[in-house]
Order: sequence, then C-alpha cells, then structure tokens
Amino acid sequence: MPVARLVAVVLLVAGGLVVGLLPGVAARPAYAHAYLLESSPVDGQVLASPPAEVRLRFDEAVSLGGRSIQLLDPTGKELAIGAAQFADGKADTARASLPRDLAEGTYVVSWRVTSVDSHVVSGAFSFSVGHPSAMAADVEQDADRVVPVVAAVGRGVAYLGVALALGGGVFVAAIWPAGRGDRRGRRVVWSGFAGLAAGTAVVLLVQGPYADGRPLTGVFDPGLLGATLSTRLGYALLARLVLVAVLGVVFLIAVGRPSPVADAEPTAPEPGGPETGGPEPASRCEPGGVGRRVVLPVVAVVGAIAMTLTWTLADHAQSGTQIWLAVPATSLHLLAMALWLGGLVTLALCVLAPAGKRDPGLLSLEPALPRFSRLALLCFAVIAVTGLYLSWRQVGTWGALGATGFGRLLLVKLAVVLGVLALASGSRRFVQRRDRARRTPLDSGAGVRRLRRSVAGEVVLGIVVVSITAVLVDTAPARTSYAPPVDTTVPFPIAGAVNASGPYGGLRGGSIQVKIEPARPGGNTADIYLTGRDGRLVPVPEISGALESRDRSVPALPVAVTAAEPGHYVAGSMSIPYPGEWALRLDIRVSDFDETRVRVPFTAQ
Amino acid sequence: MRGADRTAPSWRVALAAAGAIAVGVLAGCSGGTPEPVAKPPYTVETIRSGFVGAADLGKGAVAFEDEDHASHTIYTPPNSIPTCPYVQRADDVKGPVEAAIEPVGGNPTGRFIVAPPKVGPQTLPVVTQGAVVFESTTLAGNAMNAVTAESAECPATFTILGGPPSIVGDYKTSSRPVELDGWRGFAQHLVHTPPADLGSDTYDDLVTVVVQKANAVLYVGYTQIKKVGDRSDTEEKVKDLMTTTLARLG
Repeated sequence: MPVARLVAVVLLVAGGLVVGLLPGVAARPAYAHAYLLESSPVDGQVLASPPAEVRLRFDEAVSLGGRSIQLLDPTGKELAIGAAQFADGKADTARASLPRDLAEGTYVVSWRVTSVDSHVVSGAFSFSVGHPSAMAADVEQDADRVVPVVAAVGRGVAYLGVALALGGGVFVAAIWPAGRGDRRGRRVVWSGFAGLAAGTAVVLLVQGPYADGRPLTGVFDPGLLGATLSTRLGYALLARLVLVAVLGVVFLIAVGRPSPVADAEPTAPEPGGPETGGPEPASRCEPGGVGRRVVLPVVAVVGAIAMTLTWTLADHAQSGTQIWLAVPATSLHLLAMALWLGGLVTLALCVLAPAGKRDPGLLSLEPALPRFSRLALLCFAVIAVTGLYLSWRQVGTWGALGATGFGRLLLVKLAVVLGVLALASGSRRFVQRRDRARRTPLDSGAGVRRLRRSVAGEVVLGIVVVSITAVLVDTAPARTSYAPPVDTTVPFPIAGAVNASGPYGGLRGGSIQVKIEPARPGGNTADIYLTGRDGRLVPVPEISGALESRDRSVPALPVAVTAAEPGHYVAGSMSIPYPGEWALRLDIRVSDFDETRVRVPFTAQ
Repeated sequence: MRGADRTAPSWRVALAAAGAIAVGVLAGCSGGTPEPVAKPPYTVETIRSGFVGAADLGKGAVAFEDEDHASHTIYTPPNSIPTCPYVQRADDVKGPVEAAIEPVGGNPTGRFIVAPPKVGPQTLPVVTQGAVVFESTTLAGNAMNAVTAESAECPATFTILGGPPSIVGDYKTSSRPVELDGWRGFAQHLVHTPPADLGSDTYDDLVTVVVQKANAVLYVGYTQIKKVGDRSDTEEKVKDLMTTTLARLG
C-alpha cells in the first residue's frame, strides 16, 4: 500500500526523532562551530603590567584572517598589534603580540575566526592593565549585516541550482524518454547549472568579507578572495565550479543523442506519438555507443557524488564526531533532495503543465510519472533516514530543539517537510489508482488537475525547505549553542548540625536547590535556595562557595556568594574555566559554631 | 510537443509565491509579531509608548508622573538613571557610590509611576520608570556603559540606620545581565529587610532593569512587598512585563 508506505516514512521521521533525542541516547561531544575554550589574559583579568601577547585556544582547529585578533583601547580605538598566527604550530590556538606600552585601563580583545565547518565565529573579552577603566569599548562584530544575508541567498540559489541540475538532468536524460527532445526540460536543467554556478560564485566572493568582518564592498578585494581560496571552503567552491562545467558537458552530450537508457525501457503500447516520444533504437549500433552507455553515466554519477562532497566536506558534517558517517549521510541527504526536487520541478513544468494549444486535459503521463513516483519514494526514504540521523547529531536533546534558533528552525523545516509528504501521498495515490486501472495512455479530467495542484504545492514547499536549509547550515548547531541550565536539588546534609528548636531548625529535613545559568565556560550566575521542610526559604548567618573540578586537576576556585531575599543566595560572577564535570562546594554556617559542607555536582557544556 | 514556451498562470503564481517565501526565509524575516508603534531612532514622545501603563499592571493601578521626586525620601534627580537605589542613605558604605547618574547629551522623559492607591503585601507592585533619549546611538551606548560601570560599584550589602522607618534596615544587592527583544542591559536585584526589632515579617523586593537599544536608555523599577520565607519572583515578573511593553517600541 503506497499510502501505508508514506505514513511509515512520516512515522519514521517523527518517531525517529523521538528516539534520537532521548536524553540518555544523546552523547555530548563538542560539535561544529568552534568556540573559545580559554584565553590569556582571561576575561576580566586585571594585570599589573601589559601582557606581551594575547592567546586564544579553541575546541577545534580554526582558520585565521588578517583581522582575526583586534585590540581596542578604552575609547574604542583599534590599536596596532602583531598579526594573528598559530601558536606553537597548533591549529586550535591563535596568538598575537601586543604593544609593550599599553597605558592603564580596560582593553577589549575582539576575535573572529573561521571554524572547520567554514562558518565564522566571533567574540570579545576584556582585560585591564593597572586598574579597570570606567568604560570598555563596544565591539561591533558584524559591521555589515547585508553580508550574511547575501551569503545565505547565494547558498539558497546554489541548493536550488544543484537540485535542478542533478534532479532535472536525471529526469530529462533517464526518466522521461521524450525529455531529451524537449526544449523546456533542457532549459530547466541549464538554469540549474547557471544557478549553481552563480550561487557558488556569490558564496566564494562573499566569504572573504564575511570571515573578515568587512562590508559587502570587499567582495572584489583580491586579498580577501585569495584568503578564501586558501581555505577548505575555497577549495570546495572552486571544485564545485569545475564540476559544474564537467557535468554541463556530460549533460550536453547526453541530450545531444538518444538515450540508451530509454531504449532499454519498452514504451509500447503507448500510441502517443510525439507525446510519449520514445527514442530511436538505432543508437545501439552507432559508433561510440558503448562510451555513451557506460562512460557517460559513470562520469555523471561520479560527478554528482563529487558535487555533493563539495558541500559536505566544508560544512557541519566536517566537524564533531562520527565524521565518517556524517559526510556520507549528508551527501546522500543532499543528493536525494536534489533528485526529488529537481525531478519534481521538471515533471511539473514539462509533463504536467499544459503546453501550446494542446488540450490541457489530455496529457500522457507515461512513463515519466510512475518512474518518478518510484524515485521520489526512494528519495523520501533516504531523506527521512539521513535527516533523522543528522538532526540527532546536530541537536542532541529535546531541550535544545525548542531552546535554540537551530532547533526551532529545524522544527519549522520538519513541519514543511511533513506538508510535502502529505501532498506527496496524494500524488502517490493518484499514481497507484492509474496503475490499478492498467495505465490509461491519456489522462484527462479532474484527476490531472488535482495532481497538478498537488505537485505545485510540493514544489513551493520544497523551495521553502531549501531556503530554510540555506539559513540552517549557517546557524550554530543546537548541540553547540545549547547549554541547559543546571537545576538540581540536594537534601540538607547533616540534620544533627542544626538545632531543631533553634532559628535554623527549619532546615532539618530541608533541601538545597542550585540553579546555574548558562552552565557553560565563562561567566555564570548561580542561585542557591535553602528550603526548609515546610517549603519556605530559611536564611542562614553565612554561606561561602568554591568551584571544584571533579578530576581535581585544578585547585578549588573561590566563588563569591551574596545574599538576596532571606534564604536565597546568589553567586553572580562564577567563572567556569572550561567545560566538563564540576562541583559547586557550599560551606553553610548554621550557627555561631556549626558549619556544614555540601557539594553540588554539575556538568558545564 | 511540450517544448512550447507557455507556462500555466497557476505555475507562475506558485513559483512567485515560493520565491517570495524563500526570500523571506533567507532574509531572516519572521512574521506573526505585532507591528510596533514606534521604531528607532526614538524620541522623547515615542519612547513613552514602551512605558508600563496602568492597564499593563492590572486592575486598580493608577499612573502618574513623579513630579515630587518620591517625596525626597530617596531623592535622585528626575533626569537620572538608577545605578544603586537607596545607597545614598547608607551608613556603612566606604567610598563614593552614586545612587543614580545623570547622563550627558540626552533628553529625559521624566519619571513615571504606576502603582495601586495603597501598597501592601497583597497589592499590585509599584513600577517606577523613565528613559533618556540621546542624539545618537553612540551617546546612548556611552551613557549605558557609564551606568553599568557605576552599578557595578553598588555594594553587595549595606545598611541604613536612620531616616524614615520605611527605609531603615539591611540591603542586599545583586545584578545579572538582561536582554529583552534587542534591549540589553542589566537587572539589579535589591532586597530590603527591616530591622529585626521592628517585628516585620516582610521584605521589600525591588528589581531595577536598565536597558539600552539604539539611541535610548530605559529603566523600570518593580517593587513588591513579600513575606519572609517566600521566594522572590520580581525579576520574572518585570521581565514578563517588559517583554510586552518593549515590543511596542520595535
């Protein structure tokens, strides 16, 4: 039952996400989009004398540009410093020498690097020499907000282009026997190649200003373009342009002569003449026929696979764990999307749309429609399985799905995909009904009009999905950006230390609740609530804190705890040096003589 | 055959719709949010549309301009932005700490209060608010930096020993960063507990949010009277309230 199959695909997507996002199933490695692990000087540090250099260590290898590290003085003026370079040959550590004559005050270090997945990350921190100044400079990280939008448009056009080029090419050359002689079909494919080339060129030109934080006018700066071309993304984009040319030639040859693939598919008993247009079988006997039957498809397949790799070797798939699986999964996802969407557009524009003065109600859908229907079903299955895996890999937890921009965008994409599936199931039912009716050579009437509307809806939603994806691939994956706040409650430890009849007797049988936000390296705020057994807050004379590394590799770091409302204490500037397992140690004085110690373990993402 | 170049109108409409949606998505546009009544750069008049009104606070609230400067009990200039309320009356603070600062280059709106006619533990909260509108974003940013730096000097604890009974007691302060719909700043939490010998079982719970966006710096003080033993929920309430009111400013 085709409907059952489609329902199964939907359930696979939805149910698979459920399984994949279960907290216990999700591993928690570092993922995509580099982030700063540590810096020297550290954020907020007050130094007696100017530091000789600034040093930044990231969680993965990064690419540096001319403005990767900048130093701003207290007035916001950029100071001349040494060029950013890798420290000790490590690709995850950047350094830049600083002037020796920095005056007293607060300085801002602004950094901007390119991750392994080719996306730009940036940030800033401050340090002071002598005494902090009253005002630290503001840092404008993205001077020109048009640049990322133009880059996203370029990516979207490239996605659409690859779909029309590959999907449309396969449809015209292999699925629809009359396609090679159809001018409109060829136009779809050529427009795909043009869009792919144009979108790729836009991304190539914009990446330099994007990575360096320059305005859009920097697209033709030879220095920035040269810097882009020396990166992994630059190589990938160049390779993509070459592959556009190669696959264009392949398509030109393929549509220049009749297709041996189509020859192998008997199209009788179709009497449609020019409507169904089966190719001439004479091509089997032509010189070079073997090359056309074997070499051309092989080159096309290899080229298409290589084409998808120009994305997946320079995006989210290339960082984090399971790269060996993520790269082929992402490539398959992209390839399946291209075959489905490109084929769908070509089907819609060339087979389903009425042309010329023909009766729009009289169309032959054989054999293109059933063939494409089978291909689409296969593509949906591949998209569902790979999409499920990639969603889990880049989101990881239910909390991240709703709490991050990436997760919310992914939910929107999933909703649109489900809409596509709903429309596709209707189209599939139409195909199945035709099969049961033993394939009428000419379709007519309301059924075709409904099919046309349904496919039109699929195309619209497909373009929306591609557009969302173009934004999604430049958004920090939810695993990276999401740090669930810590909210844990432990029982108050030693009831014996508290006099039941004293002012703090309410703590007997009570609990300690600790909330830490954002629970990731850098500045954090911890809220500590001392709750009595009756649920009301109980103040104590004194409470102090320290941050302990669970592996004991670093000494305990003091944490300043101040009181808020009675029974509520706040550590407003708790700095976590690096991600990992930590414990907040609380020393709680409950009387003039008695003190109890509590350790609250937590994980910093 | 189908190579003819005529495309059905429905296809053009469909593709145009897809293109429009695609451009919208790619440009990062999001629909569904109400149209704000004001947009940057703000003026003294337009910024007031982001103030808390009596209707925002609840039934029974009244709104008025604070022309007598809070009866001078804790006087700060009406043009100023709070940095450490009540500290000017503290008896145990060493060194100069300003309760508020008057920024340079800005036009103040004045100070407005929204409150119930009579304040108590069970009544509506008291909202004190105002804004300063600057000629440029840079000036507003400089003013916000100055406010932030001064508020960082606010001591974690201080005590007021003399004066009106309503302000005598211990004060605890803490601060954390805030971002609301593009407005960035800090929320300063201040808790006032009366001296134990007064036998009061309540505390004053004040959160002052100071935020900046574009050329304006806006502040909202939100005060409740809570019973000792109850958790403070003032920060959550003021954030919820300001999420609504700031949305009107775009």
